[in-house]
Amino acid sequence: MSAAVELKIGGLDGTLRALDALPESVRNHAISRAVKIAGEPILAGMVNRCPVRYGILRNSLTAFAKKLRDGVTFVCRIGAQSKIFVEIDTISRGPRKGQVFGEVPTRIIKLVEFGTSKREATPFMRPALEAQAQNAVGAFQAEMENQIDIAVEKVAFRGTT
Amino acid sequence: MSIESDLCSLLKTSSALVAVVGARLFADTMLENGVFPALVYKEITSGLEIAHGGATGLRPFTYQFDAYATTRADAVAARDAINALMKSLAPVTVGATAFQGANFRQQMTNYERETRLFRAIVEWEINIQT
Repeated sequence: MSAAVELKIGGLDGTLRALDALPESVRNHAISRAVKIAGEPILAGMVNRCPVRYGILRNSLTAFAKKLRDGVTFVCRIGAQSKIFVEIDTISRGPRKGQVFGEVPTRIIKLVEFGTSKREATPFMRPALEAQAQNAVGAFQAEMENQIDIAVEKVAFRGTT
Repeated sequence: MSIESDLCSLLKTSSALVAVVGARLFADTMLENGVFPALVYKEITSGLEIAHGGATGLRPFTYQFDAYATTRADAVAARDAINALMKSLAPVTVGATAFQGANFRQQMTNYERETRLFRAIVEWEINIQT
């Protein structure tokens, strides 16, 4: 279990076969773009369900596509942005007066999603994935067809110049 | 009787689980009585299975089970008891709920530094006939 969900799509044989005719760089760009678009409905579902106190978690939610090391698998990771510290406010009194306090979204996302012994779990990622998985596949297929059209035009243009 | 209370009754039928956590089964969140091991179960998602002919009457519920204990062995033992119970779940009616079976989703373990508790989490999708 990680603090991000990953979307993997398969079974769109007709669409995916059309990609084989394209150069690798064009193909990778098209798939990467479509995979990212596929994550958008899930991301929107997460943003809608995300509990809000300061808004740190909700504002840090993001989706990005990446190609795995095997060279053939693309995944869309949807979760909190890593390596960021969000300032909430400054401490107004006591020995630490004036110091900034804040949170790291990747830390709190796990605590919110899975809960702790002291705090009830508030799942928002898993319900969003479950509810939007079918929409994600639809978005992927639509964007893939769009990207193939763009890619074919690009290749044809390059061929004429 | 609600599905949650019937699920609690179902969990209590597992002698392996009761041997580890006793009667300390909590829905959603734990009571702060500080006695461990304890098990918390929480509904994550629920749906309605739709086929070409319409609703099948089957409702999949995803539940997260958290076993908390002061030793890792106890937390894992409670989780294993849940896994054994769910894996062998045949169609059975408990209270007003007709359990049809369960599918494993995922599991993990971690350690809470603040409370010094070991935690074993497992997620199961439980199918219920309505």
